[in-house]
Amino acid sequence: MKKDSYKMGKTEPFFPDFLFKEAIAALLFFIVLLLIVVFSHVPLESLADPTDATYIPRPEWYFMFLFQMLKYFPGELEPVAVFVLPTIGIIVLLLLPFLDRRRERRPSRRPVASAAAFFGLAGMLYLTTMAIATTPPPAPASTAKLSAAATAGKKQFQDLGCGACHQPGGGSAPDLSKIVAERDEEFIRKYLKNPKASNPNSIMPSFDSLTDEQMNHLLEYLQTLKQQ
Amino acid sequence: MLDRAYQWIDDRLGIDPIIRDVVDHPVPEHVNPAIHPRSIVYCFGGLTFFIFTLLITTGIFLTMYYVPTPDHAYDSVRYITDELTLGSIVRGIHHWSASGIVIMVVLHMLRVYAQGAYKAPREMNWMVGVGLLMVVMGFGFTGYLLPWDQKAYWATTVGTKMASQVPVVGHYLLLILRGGEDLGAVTLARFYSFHIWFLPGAAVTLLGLHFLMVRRQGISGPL
Repeated sequence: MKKDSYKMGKTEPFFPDFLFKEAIAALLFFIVLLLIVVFSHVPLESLADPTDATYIPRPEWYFMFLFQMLKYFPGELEPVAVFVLPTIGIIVLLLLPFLDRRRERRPSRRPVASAAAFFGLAGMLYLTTMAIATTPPPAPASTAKLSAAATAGKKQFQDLGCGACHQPGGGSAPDLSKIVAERDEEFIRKYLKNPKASNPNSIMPSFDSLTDEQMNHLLEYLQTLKQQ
Repeated sequence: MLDRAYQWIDDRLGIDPIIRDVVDHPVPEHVNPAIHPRSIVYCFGGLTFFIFTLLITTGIFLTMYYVPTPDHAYDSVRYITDELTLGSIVRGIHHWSASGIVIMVVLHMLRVYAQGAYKAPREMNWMVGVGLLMVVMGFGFTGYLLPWDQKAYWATTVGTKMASQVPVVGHYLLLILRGGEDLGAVTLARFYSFHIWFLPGAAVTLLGLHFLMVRRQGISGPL
């Protein structure tokens, strides 16, 4: 077996001496992590809404550079950004020890390798910064965490398929954000139970079969549409 | 007392040589930050493993309350975050550690790269490390969907759609990732399965190889 030989200097046993030092480093890291956990909120947006096509998605920060690359390769070139370049990157990384076979290890004596790493990192950093700078934060109305009742109501809304007709800006039915701004809750409750009683020409089905609790949840959710 | 218990086990299993090898191997001076402060760069790999144990531990606890179905996923995450005793701490550690491990993996790779430690005879260990990087990315990608909030749903919609851009097999890849044409219950179940079974299995296997090789070859020498 090949083993490199070098001066070991002042050695110490891995356990417990060296592991103790690693444990100190781990503990310091853990304290910082706990401070972040305690003083920041774990993000949770509102319930997923497959009908809300207005939502602008953002990947996790470490995928931002890939996300940004998509913008430089529009249309037919998209496979270059999502497949060709990442595949080349992974293969180069994987085969690095065979592409760079010189024994020299000092970074200053490996100008090509050092420059490649520098430009690679700088490129990823640039793409990440651009992605963050150019992606607008999602509209608060579609992300804000709703109350438990409103979340249950949002589920009702999705299950009943309300959004199929009631689209933002008005589809084949009125835009609900306007309705909840103009009408009080009792009107909406009555309308949901029997639409024809309030408007004989209404084509909306009756939702009389909802329990009082389900109805309250739905109304709670509808109120959250107001801020849009 | 402990000595006698150890002796008793060793008499039967002969584990002492293995334990001695793991425990007693000498650590050279050039990696010891207590002697050379700049040697702190050698801690990145160990810290990555430490964060990995944090993620596994908090992840196991999260599975006690998390429900991987579109009907309940969001509510269960909300319950963990807002109501469960220490839930926000456990989920918080899991969430922020996920970013932390990416940072540490990159720092660890940079150290190995800058020092040319990937060169002969350590080619295989570098390749295992690249495999581990892919596994970490896979964890990040699959974990992002699990809270089933707006961000999760739409980022995964875009992420899985990217797979369909792969020439020839693109559409099949999309079907494999989503478990159908659309993102839904099957997608969530499958991402969850990958997140808690396939990827941890792969990670533990590769980590085992990673550690075994570094023990066999020793750490690379000073520059």
